[in-house]
Amino acid sequence: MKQFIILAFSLIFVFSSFSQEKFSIYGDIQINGQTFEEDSSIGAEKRDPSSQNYLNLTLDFKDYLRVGSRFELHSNPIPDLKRYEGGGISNKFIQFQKWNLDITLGNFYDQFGSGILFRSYFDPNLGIDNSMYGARIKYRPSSGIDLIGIIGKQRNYWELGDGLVRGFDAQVYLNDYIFKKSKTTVSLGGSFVTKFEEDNSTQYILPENVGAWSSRINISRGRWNFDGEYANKINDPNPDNGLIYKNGNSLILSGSYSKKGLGIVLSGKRVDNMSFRSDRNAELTQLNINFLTSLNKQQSYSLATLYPYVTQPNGETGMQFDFFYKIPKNSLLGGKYGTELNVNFSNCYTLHKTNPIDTNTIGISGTYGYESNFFKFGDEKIFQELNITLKKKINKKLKLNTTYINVFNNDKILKSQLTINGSEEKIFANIFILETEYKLKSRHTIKTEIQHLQTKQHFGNWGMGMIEFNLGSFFFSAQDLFNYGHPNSANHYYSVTTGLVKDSHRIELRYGKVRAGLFCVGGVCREVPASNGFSINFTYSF
Amino acid sequence: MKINRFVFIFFIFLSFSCDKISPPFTVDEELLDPYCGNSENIIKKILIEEFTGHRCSACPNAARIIENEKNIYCDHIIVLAYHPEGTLFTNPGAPPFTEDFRTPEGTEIGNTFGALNLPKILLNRKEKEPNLWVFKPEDLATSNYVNNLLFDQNNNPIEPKLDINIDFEETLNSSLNITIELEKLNEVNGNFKLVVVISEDEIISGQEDGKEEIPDYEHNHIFRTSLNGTWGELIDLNQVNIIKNFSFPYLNSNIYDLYKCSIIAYVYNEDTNEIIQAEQKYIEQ
Repeated sequence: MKQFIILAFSLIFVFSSFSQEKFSIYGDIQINGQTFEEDSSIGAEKRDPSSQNYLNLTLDFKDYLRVGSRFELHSNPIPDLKRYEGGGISNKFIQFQKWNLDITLGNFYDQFGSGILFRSYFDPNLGIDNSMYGARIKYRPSSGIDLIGIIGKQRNYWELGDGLVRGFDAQVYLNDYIFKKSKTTVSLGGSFVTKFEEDNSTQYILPENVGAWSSRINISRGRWNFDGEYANKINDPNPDNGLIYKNGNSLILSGSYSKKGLGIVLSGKRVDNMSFRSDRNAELTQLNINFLTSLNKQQSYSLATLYPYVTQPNGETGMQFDFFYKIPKNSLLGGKYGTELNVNFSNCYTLHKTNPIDTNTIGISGTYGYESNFFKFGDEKIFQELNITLKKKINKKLKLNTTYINVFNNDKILKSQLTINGSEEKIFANIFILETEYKLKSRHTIKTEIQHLQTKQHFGNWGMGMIEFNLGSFFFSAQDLFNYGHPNSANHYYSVTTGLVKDSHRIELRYGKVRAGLFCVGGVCREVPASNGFSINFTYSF
Repeated sequence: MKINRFVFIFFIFLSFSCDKISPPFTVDEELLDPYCGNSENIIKKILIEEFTGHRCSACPNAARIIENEKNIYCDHIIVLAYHPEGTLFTNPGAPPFTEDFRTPEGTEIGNTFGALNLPKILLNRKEKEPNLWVFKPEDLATSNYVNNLLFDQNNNPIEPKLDINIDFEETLNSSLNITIELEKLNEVNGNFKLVVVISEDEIISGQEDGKEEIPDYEHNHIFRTSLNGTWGELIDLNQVNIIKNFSFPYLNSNIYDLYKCSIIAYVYNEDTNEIIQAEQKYIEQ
């Protein structure tokens, strides 16, 4: 760890002193550390301190050549991320951009359409890095046509996954060729992705080349916008789907209307057997080729994140409705400054499944698995959430946000919560949130939050209080989550945080308790163990 | 134009293809004959420990996969099934789930190796990855983990390090006298422990299978009890022959039918947890 810090700052100093006429060097460093003290009241175990550290360096030569790398150092990571233990260069690439051509050799991240077929990305908080290591060509043969070709293997901690991934994506902006003067813009896209993995099975005939294709459309006119994407994957028997030979498919539709002060978005999706990994035996967040978007609001309030939705790659169908309206100022309801109203509703169901053609039981390995009617919902609701938020500026100094959330989480299906006595249950909860922001002066504010979660299931009721001072570059906050309704023991999860933010540099120190649970981003989750101790986060960009 | 040609060649190089598999999806068992069949030679045997539950709807599918593997490798594979405590899937309840298969030993083993969700298996207690011992049952079907435990890179059978011989005698006072004899065949290093357990087959009771509820499901390989504790006893493999004797008073035990039971003995390395040899003997009249 000490060596990493010395190396990082040495490189920063050395590169900063180079002439920047022909080339520029930039990057960032991120240091995260945490201590773990034993706390039997919350189930926190004593562990050695852990740290995750990243150093990104990028060199641009003139305007067409870029070389970059990322050095990582992980010490005593938490159990879910223990395979990251160690250090080294985790990412390296060279990129050439000229003549409508963009060639990358080495590690790269990219996405085709919504990611339903291919998305490689880096999220250190989730412990996800499925970067491709190989080659990518982006080419624009003429205006309005973008082509991408990729080939490589995915990063798997400090190794590469076994499977070889190849892909092709094309995007055409039709208005460059037809309807040139039309106010309606149309773009079409299509992708094809395959993975190759050897068949080592002694029981089943496994496809070594699994291919998937997708097509998408975007239509936009004035305030209206429509997106649609359909994907299909051939037989891909794997442990995620129980080794069935059914094809997979997915449909995502989204329509929106927006103008100043009003926005409406309606989205729907259906996912059927779309787990797509470059290694059949990978688990959890490991070696996913694609990304299955979740249609529900991304929560930031702490109690609202207690019962998150976890994307179901084997089958789900759902919708999301989002409505935003600014009640005009100087109106009865709007007040002097106007009031923002946001209503978000989302739900998700299982798929309707019937016996497949080759057997009379659903889900038997080595069969087609099941049949599924595209237009029917399954019997079980997996998740539902209603969010109603009002934001109101009271005066020049004071702002108020109030939120009500009604959430249904079917943990019998999601199986994502810690349980009492090993029994998952359906959880119904109501959450009330009141947030205030008081402006002392420019860049000086005091924020408070009061949250309450009411439920008769799971761990019962919660209360939460937080106060935060933002004084220019300095911030300080204290908060407490109190599970007073826990059937066995009511616990406080208090914490204090302080730090500095200067331009793009940030340092944060925290001490307190963290409850065991899930940390989720966009339906992708990671388990967080209970902990009690200090943590430090430092980021510096140069 | 040169760029167009270059790009074209690259995209051709991608050479996409798809393998659409038509039924049957399973490998012809006759093709696997070399891995099966009776053998009078001492062979390496591995232990598959299955963590399952009668309310676990995915577990019968896992059991089928394990049975398929056993059909392929026959005597090379010994199966032991635990129903761990602490989960709704194993709790006894209303008919037809009145049976209580749970045991403290199975629970302790499951907790130790992280078999927190069902179904899961241990494969000779060998690590799948550093600090990860549990496999999904589907791993047996998609990879060659079992093959790698039994055969070397040239596909030659791996020589067993140990021979375990099980003998038993039924006594007049409804007890079973069991003798375990160990003979070292190849050099081994480490500290080793012997575990001797009783398992039972053909227990008819309820089981969830997918969306169905099967009231008369046949439960096999059920762990019933250990004769020398969850983790067994230390043995010294430097000795030429080791003989251990056990007494099993079956009348007051939790078994239903002695003649549907078997004695399973396995030896594992206490430092690595890996099982070096296992043996099973069915109790017959």
